[in-house]
Amino acid sequence: MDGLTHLGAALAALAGPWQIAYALGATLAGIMIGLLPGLSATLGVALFTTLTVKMAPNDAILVLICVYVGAIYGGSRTAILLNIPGTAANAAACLDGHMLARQGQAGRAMGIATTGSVAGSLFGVVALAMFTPLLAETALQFGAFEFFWLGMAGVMMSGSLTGSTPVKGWLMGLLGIFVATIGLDPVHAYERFTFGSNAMTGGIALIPALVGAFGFAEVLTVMGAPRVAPLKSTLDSVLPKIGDVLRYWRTILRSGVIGVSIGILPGVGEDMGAWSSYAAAKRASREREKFGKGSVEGLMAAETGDNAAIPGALIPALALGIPGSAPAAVLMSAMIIHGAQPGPMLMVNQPQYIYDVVGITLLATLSILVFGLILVRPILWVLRVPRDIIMPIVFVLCVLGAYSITQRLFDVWVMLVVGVVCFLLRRRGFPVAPFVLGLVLGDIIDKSLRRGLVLSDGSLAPFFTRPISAVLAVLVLALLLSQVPALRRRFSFRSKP
Amino acid sequence: MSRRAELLTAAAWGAAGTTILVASWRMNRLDDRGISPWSAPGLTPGVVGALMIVLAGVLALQARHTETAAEPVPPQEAGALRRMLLALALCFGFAGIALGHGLPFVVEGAIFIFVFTTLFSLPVWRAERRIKRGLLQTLAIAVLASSFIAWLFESVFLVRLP
Repeated sequence: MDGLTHLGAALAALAGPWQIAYALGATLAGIMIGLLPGLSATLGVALFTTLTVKMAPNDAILVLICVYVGAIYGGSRTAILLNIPGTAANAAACLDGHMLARQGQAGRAMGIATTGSVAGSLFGVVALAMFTPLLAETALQFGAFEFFWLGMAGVMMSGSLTGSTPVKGWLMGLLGIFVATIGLDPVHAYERFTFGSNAMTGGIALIPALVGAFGFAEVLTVMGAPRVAPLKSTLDSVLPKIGDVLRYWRTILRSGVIGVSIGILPGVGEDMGAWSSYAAAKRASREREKFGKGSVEGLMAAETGDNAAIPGALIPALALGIPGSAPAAVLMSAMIIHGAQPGPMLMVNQPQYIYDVVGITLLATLSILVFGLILVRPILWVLRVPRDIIMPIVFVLCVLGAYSITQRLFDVWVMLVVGVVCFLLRRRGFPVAPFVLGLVLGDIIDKSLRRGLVLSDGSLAPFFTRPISAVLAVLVLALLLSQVPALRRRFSFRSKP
Repeated sequence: MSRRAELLTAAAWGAAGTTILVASWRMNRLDDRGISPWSAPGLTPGVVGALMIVLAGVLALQARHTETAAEPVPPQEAGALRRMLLALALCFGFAGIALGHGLPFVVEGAIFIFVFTTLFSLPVWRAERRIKRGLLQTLAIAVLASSFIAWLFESVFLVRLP
């Protein structure tokens, strides 16, 4: 009953004209970011974090969630029309979405993508409202041992699922944890790896590092890539057919469950939500021969899965302080900047906050429905703007985004250095998402490891014997052992699904 | 990626891990403050460095077992490296060198956008015989974009621009 009261209050607060204007504007901006190949949801949320620092906390989070939801949704447009996923989460939508477009059904494909995205997101919103308070209540029993393993599980799982090989992903996660330890040590205020520099004492700020990793690195990648032919596509009707929705209700439901479940896993993200839903739909389908050749069911599954993973990724971010994906990690940092403390105590100290996020995600979902149905053609002009014009403007935004939080040129250099390093590592097959998770979770891993060891007087036993710790430890060790060739052959471990 | 490149990458990670491990080991353990050795500041980075060395070893082992001709390397588009280096130089020139050292941000931003777009678009404009129009359009876009971004950050978000 309290939950419903909080949800009612949250929805009432979001009904103001400014809030609706923010939601529509931010969702539109998010869709445009998602539309442009190379600009990711993570970059969108990071850039808008710098733009919303001075806003009222709930308005800022409203803008950021709308950008997040809009970007994941917008990426499907490029996947359908150009066969290039706007964001990594839309790669699965390329398979059938683009085939439908080539068959002259681009509008229908977009309608299906809109339906799937809205259905997935709505399913996720319900899960967010139901499971976040439950998980937060359970997490009240967690101590340093559990938080250490949760942090490690986030970094390891992200590494396992996002790179060309898990080892490369784990190395990036470790690099992120190391970078998070630079600056004043949070336990004893001792300077680590600062080389006597005053600017380094404050540590490597998250937002400039993220803007470098996802913004500057992307500018370099896009400018080095071959030119993409500008869009010259005509569209049929984008209104979804009710028959498509009713016919595939089982697929929508299954993909919603898979998307939310994948989203909840620390560090895994929306792209895995889409691929897993797609794979499950293909296995269960009566028309599996159509998959990859323009299957409505395949496209519906992919888009429902990735959008359901968004609220799913917010569940552990709010309840445990462990984000479910890279954009959720940035969003969680923005919540901290705006005075919230995601984690088990959030439900105790700010119970209304969780329901505010539920209401905001619902509003973002309704916004993508509006834009998906009535503004498809006008929005597509953005695909006609050459990258030679967009990329320098994106870079100027990256520079000011990095600079604006603390107004130091040092942060611009952080953005440049992190951008170049991530660009070079990406070219060698090292994924960036685990680096982000490592950077965000480095602090909690560092504090939890040391506090745990002090509490146990140096004994490692509690890390492995407390029930929840033991489960998480087994998970992390299984991920590690899955890379031992002999064990992999014995148990048929697979590095990628 | 070739086996040699993969081995070199593994070696670089190993070197980074070793550096972090040594630096963490040599870090002050704050014994003089009577602090538990289990909360020493170098503990976590030390563990991270050690894990990096182990994983770099695994990466090297995987590289040794990689068949060199397993995957054909796609032919890189001619000029890709040149374009990337040009973008890198322009971005560093703007953000690393020019920014905060002379001209107001709005002017520097406009110059950067204009130069960047012009250098990358010139071959296309030349092929389409519209150099003059392209330059004028780019100038207008650069001035408008830089002015809008500067106004947004300075007036709306109250950021003192560099």
